[in-house]
Amino acid sequence: MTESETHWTRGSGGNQGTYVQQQAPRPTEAALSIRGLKVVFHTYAGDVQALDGVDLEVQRGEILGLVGESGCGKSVTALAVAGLLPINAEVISGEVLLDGKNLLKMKKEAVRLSRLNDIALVFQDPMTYLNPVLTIGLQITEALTSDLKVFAEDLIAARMTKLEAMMKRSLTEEQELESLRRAKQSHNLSNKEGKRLASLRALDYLRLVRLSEPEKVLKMYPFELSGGMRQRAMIAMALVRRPRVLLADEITTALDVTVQAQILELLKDLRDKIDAAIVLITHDLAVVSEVCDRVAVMYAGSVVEVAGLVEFFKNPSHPYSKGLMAAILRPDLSSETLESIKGSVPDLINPPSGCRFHPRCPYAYQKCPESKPPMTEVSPGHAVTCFLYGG
Amino acid sequence: MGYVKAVDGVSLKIANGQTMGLVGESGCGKTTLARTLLRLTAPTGGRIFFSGKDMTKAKGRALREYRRLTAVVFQDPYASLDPRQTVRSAITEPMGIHHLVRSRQEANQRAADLIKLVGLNPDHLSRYPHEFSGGQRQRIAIARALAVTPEFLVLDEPTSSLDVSVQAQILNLLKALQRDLKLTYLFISHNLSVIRFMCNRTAVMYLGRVVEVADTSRIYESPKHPYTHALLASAPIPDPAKRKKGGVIEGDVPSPVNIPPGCRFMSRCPYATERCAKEFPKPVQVRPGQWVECLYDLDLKVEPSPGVRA
Repeated sequence: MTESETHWTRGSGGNQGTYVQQQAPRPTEAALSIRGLKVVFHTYAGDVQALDGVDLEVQRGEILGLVGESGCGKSVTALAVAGLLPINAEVISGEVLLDGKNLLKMKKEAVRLSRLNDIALVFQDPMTYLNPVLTIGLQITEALTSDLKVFAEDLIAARMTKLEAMMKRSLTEEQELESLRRAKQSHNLSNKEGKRLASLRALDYLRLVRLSEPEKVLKMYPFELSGGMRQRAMIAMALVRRPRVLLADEITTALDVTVQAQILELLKDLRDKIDAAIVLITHDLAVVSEVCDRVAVMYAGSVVEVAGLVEFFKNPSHPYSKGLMAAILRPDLSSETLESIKGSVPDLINPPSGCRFHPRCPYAYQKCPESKPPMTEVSPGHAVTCFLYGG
Repeated sequence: MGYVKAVDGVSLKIANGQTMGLVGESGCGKTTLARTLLRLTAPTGGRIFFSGKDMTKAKGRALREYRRLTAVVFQDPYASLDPRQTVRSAITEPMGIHHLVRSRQEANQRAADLIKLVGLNPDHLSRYPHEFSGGQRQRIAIARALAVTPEFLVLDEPTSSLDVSVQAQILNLLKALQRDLKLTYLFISHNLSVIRFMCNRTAVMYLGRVVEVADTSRIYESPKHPYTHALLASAPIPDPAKRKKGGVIEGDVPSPVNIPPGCRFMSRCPYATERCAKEFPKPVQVRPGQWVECLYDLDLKVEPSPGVRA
């Protein structure tokens, strides 16, 4: 496994500079940043104010946990980033910056290309997103062969690095290397050669997501795989074009607890290997605690608290975060009583005025229904939107 | 054609007024077991006793009485309530079937009492399910289950489709109802934290068999079956200090079709030996009240907790 693990880390080893559109990443800038994003869904019942000014930043090489209850806008945020909002959705204001470029201002074709090259999504239920009549191998390589020209150079370079790294080469491998050199010079790769290289790449990625017997899996159909294997295949598919941002939306929710543990383990392992910004969307704070570096809590369409993982669990500050923490049960501790947050999630067609949490908040006072609290930093890297902390 | 042995030789005793937890991964037979003991699925073997009476073959009046004494709350309140039936109708319907009320007025009065009992408002009775949130619907489903004044309630993943803040409300409600109405629960869940909070005793199922049953504290503090141990080790803990460092159990649950002889957990068990492939592990009482289906008396360590949560 070691020999196949090294070469895909972008910008390391002999493969430097071969990645399409590669720019030297500015270290301080976030890979993905969302600023003041407002999204409305037009429905017959009225306008659903789904996102009410979302602010978020994710660095390359980190896993950000985006938590919140159903309907709070976690998935809508992901869909907006990927440019996959349904037709009745409208982006009112805000920007989504990917390496500094605003995705919301781009032309349709440019958004499609950035979704192809830079942003990858993995969803909750792999069976819904896998095509049941195509093999896993075909579905993984499709992303590469559909656009061979863009990827030819990358594929050739990866294969050449691998061949060159082999100590003892056979005659056929020498010949292959020679033909690759020629292909590289002429910037031309035959379809047959491209397909072969693409499936070699697919194999590498199936190994990366630790699927056993990847050669066999390549030829299998989705129904032949278990739930955990399907989710691994989905992750491989998402990663095969080396995205800068990986949006993982409830990827372990449909899995059993032992399989969930395996996938979370894989995610931690990938963080160090793929050099992408990972957003893990989940409703489960325990899952966040297992894999994330930072936490962002969403409530009724906006981010109410952002903090480093340890800081958040030690010192949750927004009244909603406090309520959430008090309402979770732990498998490792026995408890006699359980706190709950009163009331339920508000209707976003007529959301509460001011701070949207105020009708359920035990600390709400006069100011809360009047205006929306700004994001206030309580300690470095820990910010809250609540009047209790100023604003 | 083959058979799926969904539940294969399970023995359980649930004491009056207690909560028995049933935990296991999907497809292990938790729901089939519950359906069988409610007589919604016919067993191919074995017997069901309720308050000392054999209910396996009960018919007619005896079966109807058994149906009144037992009730069930399902996982998905979107699927378990009829969208064209008002809440009042949903709650009063079982009262009529079991002749528990003498007039419509009495039924409506009891429906109003029940809806207050589960924390909703009598105004809600004339509404339809789509007007409620998931948590509210689950409260309605509980009210409906209680309408027949049952003694035994099967709760089949009652909070799995709910958000955490709402889950806490429902769990607290279920605990209060048990205390006030002296109910006996069979609580099915795949969530180990919820089971720990709710149950006096816990049974762990794997591929159709109960592999371990003991008092809940025993299960969580000194499990004896390697599967119980693996489940506990896999459960995510909301505490960054207790983050897992690798060592998770490999593989998936095998298919329940064509189960090989010997121990069912063998294919994933880190302690498996050749003996496990040949010999079927019989349930052994390792400590008073703790039954385990494992050939070996393993010493499984659970990381100690820093104390009980306040």
